[in-house]
Amino acid sequence: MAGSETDALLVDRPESLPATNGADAPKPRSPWWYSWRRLKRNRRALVGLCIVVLLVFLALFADLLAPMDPNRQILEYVEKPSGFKGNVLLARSESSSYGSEMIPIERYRIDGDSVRYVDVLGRDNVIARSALAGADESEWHQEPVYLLGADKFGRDVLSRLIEGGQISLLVGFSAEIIALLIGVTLGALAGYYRGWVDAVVMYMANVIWSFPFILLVIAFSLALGHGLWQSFVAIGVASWVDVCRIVRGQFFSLRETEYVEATRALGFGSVRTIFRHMLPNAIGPITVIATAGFASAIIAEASLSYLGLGVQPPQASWGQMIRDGQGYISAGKNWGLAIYPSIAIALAVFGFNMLGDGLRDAFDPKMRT
Amino acid sequence: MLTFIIRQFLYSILIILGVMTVTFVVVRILPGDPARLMAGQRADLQSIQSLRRQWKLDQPLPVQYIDFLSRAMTGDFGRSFAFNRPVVETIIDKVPATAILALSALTLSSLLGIAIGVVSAWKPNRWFDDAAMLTALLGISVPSFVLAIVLQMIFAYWLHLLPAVNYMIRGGRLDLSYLILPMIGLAARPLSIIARITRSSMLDVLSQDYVRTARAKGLTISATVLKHALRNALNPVITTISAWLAATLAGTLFIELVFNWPGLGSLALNAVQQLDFPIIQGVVLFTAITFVVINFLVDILYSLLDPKVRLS
Repeated sequence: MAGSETDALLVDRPESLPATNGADAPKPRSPWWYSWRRLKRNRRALVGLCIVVLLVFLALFADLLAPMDPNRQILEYVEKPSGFKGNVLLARSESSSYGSEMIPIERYRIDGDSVRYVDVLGRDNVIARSALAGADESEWHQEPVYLLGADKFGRDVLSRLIEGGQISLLVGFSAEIIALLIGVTLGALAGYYRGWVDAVVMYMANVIWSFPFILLVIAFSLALGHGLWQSFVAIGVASWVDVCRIVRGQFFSLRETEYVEATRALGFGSVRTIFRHMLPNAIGPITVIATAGFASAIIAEASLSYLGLGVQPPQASWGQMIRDGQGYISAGKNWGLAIYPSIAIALAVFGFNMLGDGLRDAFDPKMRT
Repeated sequence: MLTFIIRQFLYSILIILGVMTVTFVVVRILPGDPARLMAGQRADLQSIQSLRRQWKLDQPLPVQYIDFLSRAMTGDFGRSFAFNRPVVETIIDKVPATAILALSALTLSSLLGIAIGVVSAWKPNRWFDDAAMLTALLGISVPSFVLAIVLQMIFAYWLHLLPAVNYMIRGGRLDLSYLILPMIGLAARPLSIIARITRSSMLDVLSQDYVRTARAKGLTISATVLKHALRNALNPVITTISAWLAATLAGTLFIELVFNWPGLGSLALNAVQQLDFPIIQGVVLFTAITFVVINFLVDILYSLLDPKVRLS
């Protein structure tokens, strides 16, 4: 077999044997290359990928991208509509954790050493320039724009959406990692050793599977308490069954392949076989189920915070924003407070699901293109 | 055949035992002192302690576990802290409301989902298929409470077409218009999933040799062939529907909250707020055990239809 790698044990390569007179031999392509090509051709999957990348970008740079501090309350601007432009002076303040206090005004005038301004109630006020936060006018006068309006505490909805996105992605990612750790380990063990190991793992999986997912998440969340890490542990521990099933199925078929037999013949230990030779081949389906799991983790986090469990205020979370904004709908105003986070959740999960579908089609061995 | 049924039955019992154990453990980890919660805000130490003894809360966990199991055998799942009624009674009271919602939603999603899936598979990658599958993907991506709120907003508050909240029996009169929005909200996710699975299953069956040959010859597929294809394609669909029967019970959680529907979901959520552990435990057990029973029945059904299942 001139030219072929002796490492044929590692990955199944049906096209990897070049002809002996190398001149017009087709270049060997791995299955990954074909999968990537299929993915690139799938328009929906690409849209999904763009959405996911955008979300990750937002999550990583949330602090820089948010136009305002998500927790900054300006009570005079409560429930202002989308596009509202505020007008504030920043005064130095020791009591505030921000080091400054925002004073909403109508208009102002510089008068020597002090600034005269009219506040939102129409009263005249004076403040010394030394009491303002900053020497330059651009430092102590701001006109913040509430692109999506302000919530019931005068906080910027857009900034809270971005922070909520960061939380959602963080919870989704961490929960999925936990689910993968548990699921892949148990699934690999069950699929490789079979016998009683498989029976025990499948029994545990069936028991957990009998509970409706959301009830399980709520129950774990209650047991662990409110909070960020409690959320993703609750979701992760409720989610491992799907991953386990997929990995187990993969290992069942992989174990019968010739190259695994070869590893046994060569005397490789089980652990080495599992991790270096079998798992890499299972990565395709694992990625697909992980993407779908990420999507359902985002929904689970939103559901938890909608119920008041999970992430607590003042940390922003999409589900919590919906809960707070819900009441406005029946009152007939500010429906954006509930709708914007709803669109955010739908878009995020939609993106992950499109990507997951695309990955599944791309990795499908029956679709050889 | 009989051995298969007995084997499945025993395994189901084992699963139910596992379910009860997990529920027991999780409920015991929940924060809060059950004796104090049962006694109420102004109870004195003595009554709290006597309650603790009565419910064996001062005993070590294994003893409590045996007590829990033996009580369960007699159908005693405790008393609700909030209502001071047996848990079983409280749950059975609320089941009809949830059952109406869940069954109507599931019927809608099954029939419509299968229909959409079949039509999509019939002419794949045409406009209907693309539109339907995109909508289905959206249906899976939107959380149920979000959809419920949006439906409420559009159809009740903006268009005033349907009532926003409450149960359909008001003052002894039945008004089905109250059922429509919650039913749609609940049906959206199962419908989407059933449509997708039906489509892919039908596509698989339609790519079989006999169908391809007929099409290649230019023949229109006869009704009998179509019926055969559908019958074969429905296997995974039935599995999905049965799985969603119990999942829909849990899905009512948010729908009932948004639409103020007095069923199991509302009961469970109130119990969560009030730390009414026996009810939480009861609802979780009820849903899980229902799921196991349904699975068992579906397995038996499959074995009757397909001998290969029995012999595996």
